[in-house]
Amino acid sequence: MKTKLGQDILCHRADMNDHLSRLRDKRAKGQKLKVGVFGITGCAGCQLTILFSEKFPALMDMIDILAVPFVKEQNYKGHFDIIILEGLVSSKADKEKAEELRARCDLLMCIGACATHGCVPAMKNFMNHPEVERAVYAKVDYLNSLDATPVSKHVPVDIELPGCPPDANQIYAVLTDLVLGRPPRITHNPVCVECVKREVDCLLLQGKPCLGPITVGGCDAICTAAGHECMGCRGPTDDANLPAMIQALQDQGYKRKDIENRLHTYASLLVDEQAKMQGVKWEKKLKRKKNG
Amino acid sequence: MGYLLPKSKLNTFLELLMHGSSFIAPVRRKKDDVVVFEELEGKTDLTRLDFTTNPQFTAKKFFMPAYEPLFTYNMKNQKLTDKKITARQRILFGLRLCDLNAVKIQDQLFINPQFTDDHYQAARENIFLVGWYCNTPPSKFCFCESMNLTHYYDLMLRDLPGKKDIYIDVGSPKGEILMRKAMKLKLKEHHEHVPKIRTPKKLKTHDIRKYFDHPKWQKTTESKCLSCQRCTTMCPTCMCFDIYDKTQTDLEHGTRERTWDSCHSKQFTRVAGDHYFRPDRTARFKHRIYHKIVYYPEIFGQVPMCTGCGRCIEQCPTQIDFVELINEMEDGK
Repeated sequence: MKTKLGQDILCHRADMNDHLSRLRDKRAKGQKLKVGVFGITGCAGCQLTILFSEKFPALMDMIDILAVPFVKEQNYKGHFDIIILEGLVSSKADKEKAEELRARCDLLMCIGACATHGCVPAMKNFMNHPEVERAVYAKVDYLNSLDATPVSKHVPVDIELPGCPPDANQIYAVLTDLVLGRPPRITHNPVCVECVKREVDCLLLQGKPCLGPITVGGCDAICTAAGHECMGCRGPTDDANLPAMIQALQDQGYKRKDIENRLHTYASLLVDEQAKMQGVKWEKKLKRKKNG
Repeated sequence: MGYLLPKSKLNTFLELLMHGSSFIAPVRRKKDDVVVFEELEGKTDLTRLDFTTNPQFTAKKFFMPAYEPLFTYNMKNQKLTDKKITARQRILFGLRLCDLNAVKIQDQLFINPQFTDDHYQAARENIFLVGWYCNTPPSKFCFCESMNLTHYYDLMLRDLPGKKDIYIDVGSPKGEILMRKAMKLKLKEHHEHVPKIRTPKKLKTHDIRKYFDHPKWQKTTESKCLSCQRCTTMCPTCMCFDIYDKTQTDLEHGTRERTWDSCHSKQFTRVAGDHYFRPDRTARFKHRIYHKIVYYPEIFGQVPMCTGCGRCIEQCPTQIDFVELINEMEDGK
């Protein structure tokens, strides 16, 4: 089965139910799930969200965390029930690692905006790779870099939890559901819903460039409740109305170029795909170069 | 039946009402200057009361909170424990007629012979509704004049224009009970008609079935609607909800919760087999309007579900004005 960007179900696998019933059987037998936490190109912040949560001790009781190369040296080498993967594919090594991890687990769960949408690193897709590389690294010949792309572009992904960083409560809720063998609940509603439930005065109506209306929620409107407009780190909703959003921001007096830059910050690839479908023409010259 | 209350004694009157029950009223929030319904902590909070505008967020959270636990469960011993429904007496003060009628609509839905929602009923029975009459509509988006509002309250306070008194209209036996709290003031009995509120904005027709295929719907939603669901979440009569289980990480204890949901969400119309009944934005937008103005009166009598508070227009990030939209269709524009 294929998974592609912009698919409206965050749980992708058609055979999810078989997996869930297997997880239920395991629990009935009293076996704990084997879970590994891995990372490819990324800042490791998403892994830290799991490790720094106050629920972490309870998680250790619930599942067997057999591998976290980020914090321990001896890691399980066998097959996992669930692999939690952070980061995106940005080099040949990343791609191989993603393929290897996919083969070593039943359910692959990608967390964080990099893994799900490309996040900030995907900006380089719209620039000239050699130029970008030379600006950052002294030596570039060992890099073997590819276009920065979400994991789902390369291997089938079962569950995607977006966010920069992802919401720890959501990760824990999904893991709890999986251990119980229930289909996980992942909201697709925009941030506005959670924002209104928290009785936050609309930042967009105050004239701030908030992307809440078209951004997937599940973060409990943490930024907007603190008075900071939504930057769209959780990626656009599956039916984001981009032309209307751009128009709304332009009506507030923002420049088209700035709006486009903001839309391209966290989920440039998906936004681009949606823009193409909705007939939005970018004013910004996006030089999408084939860099291999 | 009613009473006359000298304006100077309003605070004394409210203090008497406050005694022994929790008192919820529109106050201006300090952090962002927004008028919201809040529980007052004491008499000193009465100075924060604000009647200049209709509170931005509705009072429906006091009947059905945004997140409401229904019961807790223990999977180990297979036991369910109903959430204790606390019967705390609450006075909701300062509701406008539109919000009071919204309570009426929610009552019709949640407390009726076919189905009664225990949680809603428990909250509702202990709430006294004390209204505040709009001498002038608090917002330019108000259009309640067109929405056939009825007098649905326990007490209604009207600041009589040009006079030194506030007229208190008693609308129910519960209102009489409440007035006993203020017996000490020895208010003068008085009777007067509470007039209909006049609003400059009007909905020209309720008969919108004939416009179901009007191209304007599509045009407006495609160019403006973000499907952000702010309108439905803000609406005082929107009552759709979603129910889910929240299991704790010990895998034993959990809570079944309900939360507000919205027909503007694509996920809302998803059913088994991954089928979407309304994948189209326009269909969802239209459904909201038609439910409020056409489908609801067909089931519950001639009163529309919308009460004309105007929040969905005022608080829409792109200011989609469905009243204007229907009026334009009616005018043949």
